Amino acid sequence: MVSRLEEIFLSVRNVQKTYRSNGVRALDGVSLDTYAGEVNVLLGENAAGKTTLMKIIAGIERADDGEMFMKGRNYSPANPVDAIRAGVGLVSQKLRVIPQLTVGENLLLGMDLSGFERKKGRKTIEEAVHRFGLGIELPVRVEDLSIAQRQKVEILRVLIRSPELIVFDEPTAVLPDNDREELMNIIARLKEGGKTVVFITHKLQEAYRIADRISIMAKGKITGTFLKGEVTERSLRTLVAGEDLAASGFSGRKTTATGEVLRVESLDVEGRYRNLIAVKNVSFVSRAGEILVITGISGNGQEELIESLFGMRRVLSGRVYLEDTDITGWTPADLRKIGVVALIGDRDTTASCPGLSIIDNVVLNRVRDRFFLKEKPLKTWTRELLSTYGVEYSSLDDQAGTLSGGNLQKAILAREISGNPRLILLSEPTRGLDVKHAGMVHRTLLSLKQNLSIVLFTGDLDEAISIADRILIMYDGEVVIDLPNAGKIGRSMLNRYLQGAAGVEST
Amino acid sequence: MKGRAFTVARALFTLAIALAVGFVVIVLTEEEPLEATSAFFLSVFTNTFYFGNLLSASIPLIFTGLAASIAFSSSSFNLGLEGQVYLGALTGTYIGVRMGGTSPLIVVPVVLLSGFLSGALVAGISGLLKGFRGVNELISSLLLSNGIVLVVDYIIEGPFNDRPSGLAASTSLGKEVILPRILEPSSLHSGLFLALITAVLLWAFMFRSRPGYDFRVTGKSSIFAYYGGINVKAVYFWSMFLSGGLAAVGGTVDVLGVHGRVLRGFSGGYGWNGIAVALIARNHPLGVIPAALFFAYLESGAQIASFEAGLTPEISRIVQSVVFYLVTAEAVLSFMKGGRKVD
Amino acid sequence: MIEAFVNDTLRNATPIVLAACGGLVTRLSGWLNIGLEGMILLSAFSGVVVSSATSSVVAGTLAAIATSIAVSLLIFVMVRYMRANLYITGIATNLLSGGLTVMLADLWFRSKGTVVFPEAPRPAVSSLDFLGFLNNLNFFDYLAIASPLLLLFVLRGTSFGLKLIACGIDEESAYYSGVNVNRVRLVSFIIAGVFSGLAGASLSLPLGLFVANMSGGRGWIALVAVIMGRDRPFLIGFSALMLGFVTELSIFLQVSTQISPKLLLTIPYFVSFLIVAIFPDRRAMLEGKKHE
Repeated sequence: MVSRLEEIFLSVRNVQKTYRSNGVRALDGVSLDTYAGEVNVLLGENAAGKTTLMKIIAGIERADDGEMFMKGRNYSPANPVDAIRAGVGLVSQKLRVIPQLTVGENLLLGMDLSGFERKKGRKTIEEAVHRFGLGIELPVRVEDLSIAQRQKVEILRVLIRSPELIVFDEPTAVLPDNDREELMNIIARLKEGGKTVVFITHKLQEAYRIADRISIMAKGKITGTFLKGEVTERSLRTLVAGEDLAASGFSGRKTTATGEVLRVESLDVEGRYRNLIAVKNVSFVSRAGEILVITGISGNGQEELIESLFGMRRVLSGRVYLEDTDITGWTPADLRKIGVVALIGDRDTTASCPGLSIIDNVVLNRVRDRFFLKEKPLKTWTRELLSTYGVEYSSLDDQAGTLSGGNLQKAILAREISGNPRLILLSEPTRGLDVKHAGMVHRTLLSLKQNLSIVLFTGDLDEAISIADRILIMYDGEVVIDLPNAGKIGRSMLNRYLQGAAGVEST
Repeated sequence: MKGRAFTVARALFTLAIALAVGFVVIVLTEEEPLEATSAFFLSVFTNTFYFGNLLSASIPLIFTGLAASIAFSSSSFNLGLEGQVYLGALTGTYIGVRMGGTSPLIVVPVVLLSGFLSGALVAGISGLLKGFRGVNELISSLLLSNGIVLVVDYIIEGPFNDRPSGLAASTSLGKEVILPRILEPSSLHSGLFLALITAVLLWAFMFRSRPGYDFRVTGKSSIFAYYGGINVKAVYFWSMFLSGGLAAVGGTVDVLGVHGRVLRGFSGGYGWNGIAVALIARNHPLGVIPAALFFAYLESGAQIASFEAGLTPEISRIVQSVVFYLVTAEAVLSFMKGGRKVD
Repeated sequence: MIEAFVNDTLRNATPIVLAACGGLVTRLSGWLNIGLEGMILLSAFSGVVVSSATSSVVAGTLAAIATSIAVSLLIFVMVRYMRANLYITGIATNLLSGGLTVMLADLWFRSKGTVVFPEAPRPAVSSLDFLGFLNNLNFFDYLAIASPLLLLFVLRGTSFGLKLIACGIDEESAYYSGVNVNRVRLVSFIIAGVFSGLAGASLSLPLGLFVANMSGGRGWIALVAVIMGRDRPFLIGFSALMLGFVTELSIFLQVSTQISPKLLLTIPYFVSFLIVAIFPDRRAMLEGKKHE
């Protein structure tokens, strides 16, 4: 631990936060000091609470308990406006520029001008753009920009308010290599200019490279803070929980694959915004008896690919076959009829409905082919199904929103499996689950794969390596590698592909 | 506090506030507030005539309440109930008059069915437009309904007018098709049983049939429904179709039981009251029954007080609007749910 | 003849244009206020009552605006702080206005139908002999012509306009950008109050009378104009003008033909219906696309 006499810019004391909607305890008494003029890195695995902490610092969410001090004075922003006025800027993980507006309008929006100062704002913006070297014309619509360009717009929007403290929440997750380099330069310049930077990441290398000080976060707590000189990259690795799991001695999997179930041919899929193609010319095959894991850094087209396979997103071109049936662009209703099921999208909005009762969530497929619903048999069936998968609940008539994340995931997984499907599409099946529940989900999937084909998307490499028969990596909408998980695959090698460093280069 | 008990408590609290507002308005505006208040709140219970009329007034409200609840629980905002009720009454009456002389055992079902279809088709258009063209059903159903009310007015004043009577009313149905009365001389009629049966059937439909399940799931989350293999567009259409049909039957039954013909504006307010009924009942088909009784009580009380004590009957509109303001407000009474802060 | 027709069309369009401008602002903010109809009716009532009592058109207009703002704020408070449903509170307002105006008219003036205020001053009208179709227009009519222009300036030329648009497109991003979403919506509801207050005053003041339900669906038709105009002030102004024309046509035909007035009165509703069916709500389509 460090105890020096540098000036503390922002001090977080024992902050706690529990999300009311799902009861997840995101922050469990966090204390963190941020030193002025330094790059403070916050390092931790997914769901460690990093983003929640930053949201509280930036005034987007309010803490349940605890205090914050800025330069020794009490700091408790009620909303982002307060935080921005106090000199805190956030470049958030999910970009917060508005695609339908132009670059100039987005920048203006961040300036908090009163009514008629739009003209004056233009001048400030032009100066800032010049100084920052944005390289994008102001009248261009943000939806026509690449992700990296959008991020630059967002950074500039934050910088225009001359913040003292700038928080970057996993900013490199969406960036290709050369842009990442540019971001590092921006951060270095900010530091030279005397600004305080908080940089959140779960990538160790990156953290080590730019940090002056590194804090490690796990399970809603800060577990340690170190000056860069005090640790080596290697010792950091052992300090970050979960990072070591990769070397768990797993030696590959004998594939049991048999017949081909799903065949995807040169698929192009529409992205979230107009003019954006999220998936480009993707082809692959998935067989019965195997788990095909599609992985990649978030935002490289995996979500869109899975969604399009289940009729939730528009296919621009290419074909999808289930055995010999052309199922391109089929609706979920039709796909479910022929034995394709999915757990995709946001667990709380797409794959379940928190406002409906537990039983109504679970019988979704079960009731499809009948007209009258008899309550008793349905309840018995549901009870048996849920107890088979160890779902804990108090009453079937309670709203599904009352289930914990792990129990909800098990319940809806049970629902999808119950109809004896031929193909299961899964997206992040263990996101937000604790180790115990994640393990149960994995065991279930492994026991199921004998009879069907499983296509699973995850951003978690450890998960990928531990359950995949085959791994497919996507980068910038394309498949860059498709290889069996035969034991030779190392985490570092996969990481190179994940970041687009090897294989297909795109322009 | 448990879910259902809390729901009931909140509904009662909302109604209590609304009545309190009504009381205050009476006190402020009437010269003899005591007399007006007692006429408004109590007279209904003083004799079977008033009480029978109250029950009779609840019949169309049960139908429009069910109509609104089936639409709302499938996330379809049917604001065209007024026009659908009126159109159902006219269509049913017209068919009934044209079938004059046929056995009532045939006429009555045909009248009800034709009334149902007229409202169902009109509302169904809004459902189709919503599903296939993304047209906001709230506005489309309301505009259509406003136009239809005027068309029905025109028809009963013009081509289908009962000229000898000199009234703004249609030709009358034959006496033999009028539904049997109960509690005479009040206007209560056996349509009440039809309303109660319909409520039970609708409950069974919503909670014991797969299409009803589809309606409820779509109403809670259309994304989840689509993902789950439910034909969301079909739900948009059929929920509006059934909703419009039920509203129209409410108008038809009121004609068959009370008036025997369409009087100009006789159903004015049935639709809006039906929406209030569904909201108070939280879209539960069986909850619609007590809620409809409450609004019938409100309307009857206002009417009685207007001729016994000269009270302005519009007061019931004001009480009704207070209900509308409060009924969806989640923050009402939320302090009872364990000190959860508003916001 | 044609001049008179154009002139009447303009005057018919006035309350629709004004209300549509108010509707647009709330819609852009992301919270469409469907209580316009009720706001117009209540302010038409209070406007003519106050102008008669004070013998001042200005006081009457201000009273109308104040009434409408108060009601708009009531909706805002119910939705924002009591977490009520936006549409249901809008309907509540429309129901309240119908009951309250008739009750007060009965109570104060012993009439449930038409209340004539013989002493009420009328707003002055212009006399432009050289441009006949712009003749005989009052303050409200000119305001209606100017307001799309004004709105265009607010949307394109002020940062409030930008914030308003941002809130409607993506409230979360706007919030992250440092826009006080809540305050923007509050202001948009106040602006809607001003516009529908003017719309109400423009109905009752020039006639010096109040008629039960004199808003006659104009609040709803204004919403149709908003949808039809695809969020663009000029297009909305034009749509409202067209709907004003349709209204004028139905009045004109009542005078000049034998067709039943009841049937002619349906024209604005059915035409509006066809319009919303033909020009679907772009926003609703975007919402719908997410799951289709």
